[in-house]
Amino acid sequence: MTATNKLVNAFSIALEIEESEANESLKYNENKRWDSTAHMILIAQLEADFDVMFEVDDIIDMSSFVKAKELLEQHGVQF
Amino acid sequence: MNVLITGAYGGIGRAICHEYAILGCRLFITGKDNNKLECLAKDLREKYSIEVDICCAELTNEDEVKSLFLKIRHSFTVLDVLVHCAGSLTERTLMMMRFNEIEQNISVNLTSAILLCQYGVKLMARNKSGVITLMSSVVASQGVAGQSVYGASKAGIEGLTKSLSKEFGVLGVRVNAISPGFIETPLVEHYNKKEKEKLANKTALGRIGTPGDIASVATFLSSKHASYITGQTISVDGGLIL
Repeated sequence: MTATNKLVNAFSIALEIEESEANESLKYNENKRWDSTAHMILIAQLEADFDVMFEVDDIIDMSSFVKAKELLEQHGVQF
Repeated sequence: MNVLITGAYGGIGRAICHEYAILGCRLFITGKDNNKLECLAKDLREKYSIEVDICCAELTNEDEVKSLFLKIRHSFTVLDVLVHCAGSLTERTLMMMRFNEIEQNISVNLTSAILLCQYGVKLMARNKSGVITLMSSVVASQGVAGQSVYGASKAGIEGLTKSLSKEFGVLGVRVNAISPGFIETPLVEHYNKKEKEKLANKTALGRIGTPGDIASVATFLSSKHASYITGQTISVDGGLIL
């Protein structure tokens, strides 16, 4: 599984959305499924799937699918 | 069941380790003294044939808490139970407390609990299941002269428990606190026999508590029998009135 597929899969599981919805237009609070509770689940999912541990600032900054990808890249994940 | 126990070699922490070990749980134990952790882990492994991992950590330091949870994640992947027993008591009137001692007390008793919950919930949220048990004290609700900062920090634990139970409930994570009364532990070993008798007489049951009294409530709170209990502070004090 590529890193992008893994990211799509993580968003789909955590936010309980279709994989097709986990794309670059997905933003926190703009999709009704991505609320503060889902955000906690998403962080847990991404940390486990990519074996990283986010800083609190990262968790606050993770406001979109694109931003999540950027933050994971900063943690050494290659897309 | 994967269980993290802080302050593991203290009076209450040790009893809680044994109680979970009897249940066959896999333990991750922490404390500040590596030798004491090694001894306890060896004892638990030999007595109960369970897996025990150790990590020496200063829980008031965020970097050390983060590193602790990185180790836990590599050992466990998923955390089922967190029991936070680490704490300290400086018994002195407020006028005699230096600012750094006040900060240290709040940090050891309260800030550490906040940090552990912040990191611990991430290892529970993925499975939408987990139990966090914190330690308050009878001092939080009844007060004791000479223990004002300790009492304030423990009252903070009770507030934290209530709010986190609401925040983490949707993640399937239950948060409770135990409020021990006067328990026979090294924390109160400076009390003489007469003082202990006096305190025992203030309880409805007429005796001082044992660490085992607390440990059995901790395991109960993480059992299926307590699956509808969250946001509560359970007094385990023999009916103590100070």
